[in-house]
Amino acid sequence: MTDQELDRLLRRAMIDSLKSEEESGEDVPEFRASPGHRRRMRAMVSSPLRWLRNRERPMWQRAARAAAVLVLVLATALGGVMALSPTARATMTKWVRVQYDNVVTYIYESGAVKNSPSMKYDIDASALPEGYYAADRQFLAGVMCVTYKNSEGNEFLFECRRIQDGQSSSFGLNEGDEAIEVTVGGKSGVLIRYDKSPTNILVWIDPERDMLFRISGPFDLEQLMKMAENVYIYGKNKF
Amino acid sequence: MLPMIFSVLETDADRRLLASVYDRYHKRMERTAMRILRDRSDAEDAVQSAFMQVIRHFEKIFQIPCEDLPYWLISIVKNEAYMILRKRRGSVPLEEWDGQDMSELSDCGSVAELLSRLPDSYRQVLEMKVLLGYTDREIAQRLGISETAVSTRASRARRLFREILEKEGFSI
Repeated sequence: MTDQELDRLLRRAMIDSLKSEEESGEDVPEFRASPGHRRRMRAMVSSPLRWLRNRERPMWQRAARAAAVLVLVLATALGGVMALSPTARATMTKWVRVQYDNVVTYIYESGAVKNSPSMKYDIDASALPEGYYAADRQFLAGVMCVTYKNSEGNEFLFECRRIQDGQSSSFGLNEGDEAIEVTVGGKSGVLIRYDKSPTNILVWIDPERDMLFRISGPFDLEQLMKMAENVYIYGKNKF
Repeated sequence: MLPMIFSVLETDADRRLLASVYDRYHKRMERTAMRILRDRSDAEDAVQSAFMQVIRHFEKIFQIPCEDLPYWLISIVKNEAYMILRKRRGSVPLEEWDGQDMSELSDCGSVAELLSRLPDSYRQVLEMKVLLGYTDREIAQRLGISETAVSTRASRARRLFREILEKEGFSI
């Protein structure tokens, strides 16, 4: 018997052994997955390589990152409260940033229901990257999504939606990716800059209208900010 | 290793395959981890570590016969569970084998039964090498021993298994 034949026999024997172990009918305590485990497994299934890279990071790195985020959350929350006027404070919409592993989540809290009319938004054509035009507009369940394209088939998305209490936006961040706090026309926002992907995302909120805006495309911060600061209302909408 | 993982898991089809592997077999993997560890948190760690290994060795999914795939996964999670057990106990209870009295071997059973006669330390190395396809380096890292020790255990295990087979009348 050659070594290869022996290995084949061993492999077969190992599998048979595992089968009989599994079928032994041994009393095993029931496994009830914790929410954290289920969340991690969902992350693994949706983006296995990103999940693996994050898991391979040393524990101290993950802990340091979580601590840094906690400081940032507190600073953002305190800074936001201090900066707003009493009137604005009463009706403010705020977001709380939390991070678990490599996923940053922004949870929005709407201070009051303002019943302000829904509006249609667009990006001023002068602020669009050269050659881009609005190719498609979708209005679905409180969300307006505009796809801009250019003649080369490149595209980016502009999305706006009404904020509801507890609504959240999550972003997976790998090593080298950044979440940068920014201000868009005096309103707080965040730029998600990916290290290994050409697409970056700018998200900001309008607390007066309880609106969340998001532009995602292969542009740098300057271009994204230019578009964001040139978003305007062009009509009322029922979405 | 990484470039290979990237080339294998880059497509949607591969990710769907991984998702379906998870959907179909995660309960059996969880049960295996629970059987060994008897603690939910440790079992979760074992399952997560097992899926890290599955992702690292994803290309093997294409080489394993479908009917054997669940046992490949179970073997991975079993190894991860034993690693956790060893850490929990603060020691590595892998006995060093320095010879075994062949007269103690019982009557001929199935080959799987014969395999169980190998010392744990040998069987574990063989399982990682032969069934899971881990390199000596990976096995050394996982067991906290040198690559030379891995290689020595593997060759001794094969030799011992040949002896067991011979004693039990298998034609080798």
